[in-house]
Amino acid sequence: MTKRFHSVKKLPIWIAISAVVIIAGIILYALLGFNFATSSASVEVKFDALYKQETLQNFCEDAFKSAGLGYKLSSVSEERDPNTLGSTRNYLLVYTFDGDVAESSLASAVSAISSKIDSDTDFSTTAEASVSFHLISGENFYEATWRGAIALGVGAIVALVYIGFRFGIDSALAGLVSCVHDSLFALALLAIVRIPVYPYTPLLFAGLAVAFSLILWIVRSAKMREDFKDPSFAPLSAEEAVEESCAGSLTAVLFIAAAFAAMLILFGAIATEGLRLFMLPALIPLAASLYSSLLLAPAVYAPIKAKFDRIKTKQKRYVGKKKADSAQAE
Amino acid sequence: MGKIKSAICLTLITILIAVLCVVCFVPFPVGWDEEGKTLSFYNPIINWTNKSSDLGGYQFGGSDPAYVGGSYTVVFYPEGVISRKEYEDNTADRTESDNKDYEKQYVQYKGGAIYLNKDTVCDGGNEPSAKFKEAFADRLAILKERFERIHQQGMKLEVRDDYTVTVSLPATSSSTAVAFLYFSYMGDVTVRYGSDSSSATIVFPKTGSNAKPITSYIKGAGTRSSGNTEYVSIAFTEEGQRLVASATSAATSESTGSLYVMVGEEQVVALEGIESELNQPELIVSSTSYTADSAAVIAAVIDTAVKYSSDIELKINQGEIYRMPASFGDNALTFAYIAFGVCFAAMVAYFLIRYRRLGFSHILTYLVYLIALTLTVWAIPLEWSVGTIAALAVSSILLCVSDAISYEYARKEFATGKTMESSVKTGYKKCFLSILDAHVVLLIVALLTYLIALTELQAFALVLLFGTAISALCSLAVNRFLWYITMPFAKSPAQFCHFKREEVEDDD
Repeated sequence: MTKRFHSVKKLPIWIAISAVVIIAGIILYALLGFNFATSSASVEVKFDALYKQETLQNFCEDAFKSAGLGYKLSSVSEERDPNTLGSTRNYLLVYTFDGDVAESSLASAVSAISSKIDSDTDFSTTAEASVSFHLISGENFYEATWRGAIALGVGAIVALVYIGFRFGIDSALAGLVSCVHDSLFALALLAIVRIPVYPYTPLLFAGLAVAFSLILWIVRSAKMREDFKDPSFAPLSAEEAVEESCAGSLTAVLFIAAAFAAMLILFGAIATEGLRLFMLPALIPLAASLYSSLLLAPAVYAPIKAKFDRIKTKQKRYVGKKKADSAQAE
Repeated sequence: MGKIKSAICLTLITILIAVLCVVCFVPFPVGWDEEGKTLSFYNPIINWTNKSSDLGGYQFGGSDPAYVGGSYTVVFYPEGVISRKEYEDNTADRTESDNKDYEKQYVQYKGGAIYLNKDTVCDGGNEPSAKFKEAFADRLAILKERFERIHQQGMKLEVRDDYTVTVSLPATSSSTAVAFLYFSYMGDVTVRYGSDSSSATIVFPKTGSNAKPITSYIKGAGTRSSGNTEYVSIAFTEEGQRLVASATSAATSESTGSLYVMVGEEQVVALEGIESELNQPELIVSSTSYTADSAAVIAAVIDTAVKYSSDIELKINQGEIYRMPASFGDNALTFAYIAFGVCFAAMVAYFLIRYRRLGFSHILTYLVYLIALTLTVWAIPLEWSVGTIAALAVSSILLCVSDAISYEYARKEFATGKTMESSVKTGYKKCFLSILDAHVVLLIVALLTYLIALTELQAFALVLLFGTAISALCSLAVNRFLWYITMPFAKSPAQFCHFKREEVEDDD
């Protein structure tokens, strides 16, 4: 005998969970903000073509190891002429460190690298290299942020109007609650778990949460529209009907979520660190949308449907009574 | 459809898809030297497609293959701030006694990352003055607004060591050098008239007792476009128009007067060879060197200089420029391709296991979708970035789910005892609206997001828009057609699709 989990009847629990997560997220965001991977430190070695890059890399990495610094070779780039952007045959070696690295450790590493370069006799005396460390903080472009937020809001509302036409206003209302909830829930989770993310990531994640939410809700709505036409659903209450129909679309919802999750995990596992910083945290909006689609949205939809069903029945009665009155009068 | 017709159709379609796959995704050697060493490669369309500043990779072939993607980065130094390298170079070029004087002028800041001029920056002390800090904050705001106005995807702006600014523009940008140079121009806007910019007379703003802010003369600047010509337009107020008309009233075809728009002491726009009085509310200037991007840069410089007009006199110097590789790492794109390949293999395995030979019709459909989207991204042209890859992933999954839903509906119909032909027809009929609804909703969201949003989100939305449209077409038309032409080869349609009839319990 299988026992069904009656998620639709537990709306207060889902509201409480969502409220706790969103409020915690808002508080943490107000106190700490998102963990943007924008504050960092770097050690840069500017050198000309007379130097061997490998030797300089060895100098740097030895110095970082002796200073106990965790480092990452960020890039080797070429200096360009400002007018033509042609090569100048000067190069820049960049190592990056976390933003909270001690300045004194960087300073001692830089001075160790400088003295090694100065004392190295293998290089020509005309060879030039300069080492320095830098503290970097990223800046946000706000126009892109607010326009993005408006775009997502407008897009979601128009999409929900379409859902209203196709599946009914009750479905659109539940979809609206789901979209707003999922974007807030995803942002709150991002603020709580404090995964380092790029500055544009929160907005993109809110957008992804809305997109996932709309896709999953359409699957639910399409199934419910189909099921509610079935005469076997007629005697069921709104709660029972929603629960029964959602059980039927559970596999499709889980399949879609699993497909997205598999893709994000595979990209996150195989890709480079930079791409991983985007792909793995993208599981957060997916998780928010899946939670909402499985538990919250059907529970929100059931009372809305019950209300709309009551209004429809009243209207039918009223029309029926009017028809009966006019028939009697005739 | 008969077997022969199906065979011909399927062969032609498969050959076409295979050829397009090679053109889009497969590099191969095309030239060898006498020793059989590969000299040159055919680079598929995916290699030619623009890459954002986050992703990048080397094209195939040659001893020095081209790097596609990444960015150009410039460092802006405020007046009185120099890099450690410049300080070291300057001290190396001087004699010991000169060096002592030079060293007295500068103070090391942040462990020697930069050096600050004691007079200009520190007001004679060893720490930056409040006046300098305020001036730097103003210049940073101007730089931010200028770069933000050109809406480049993957652009980055960072403050380094408190008092320098680094800006990265994607390598695909056509206005990199112009933006780096012009955006460093700081100071008030002046309009001058004369034979050359250095000796020209200032038309406005007036100084002394008649002094008025520049906004009394110029409303703002923008761009215009007509055919292949790009223009910078500067809108005057009534007073500005009157002053320009009065300054140019004596102009004749023999005079050599030019009107210059300057920001600080740098010439930004020049209207040369004025032959008659200029009495118009808007000055529209074109140049053979203007592109849409460079005109936008020049308009942004003038407009922000008008908007941020102040008494601050801090200049900004354009420093060194570097060609940076992809910020996600040199191999980010290669690993993204590998990850995509693994996802593709997983999808193929799933469809072949669940639907047996019917899975081939989905695989061919998916390849059609992938080729169409790749050609679209290349032709528009768009860039491959994290956002566009995310959009590809969303629309890919939409297509896979749509195909799986249509197969499942047909499976259900077949299980009830209908013929395969009837099951496919009824199954598609039942799921058509659900699949269409999902696509329409995503199309609406993508279209509106594309129209309103900027940069990364706009690119994500545009690829999602095309991906969803192609997915709808592939799922509702291509997949059904491929199913239709592959079925005649099946001896048992049920085995071909891995469909089963519902078992009916015998009451007896």
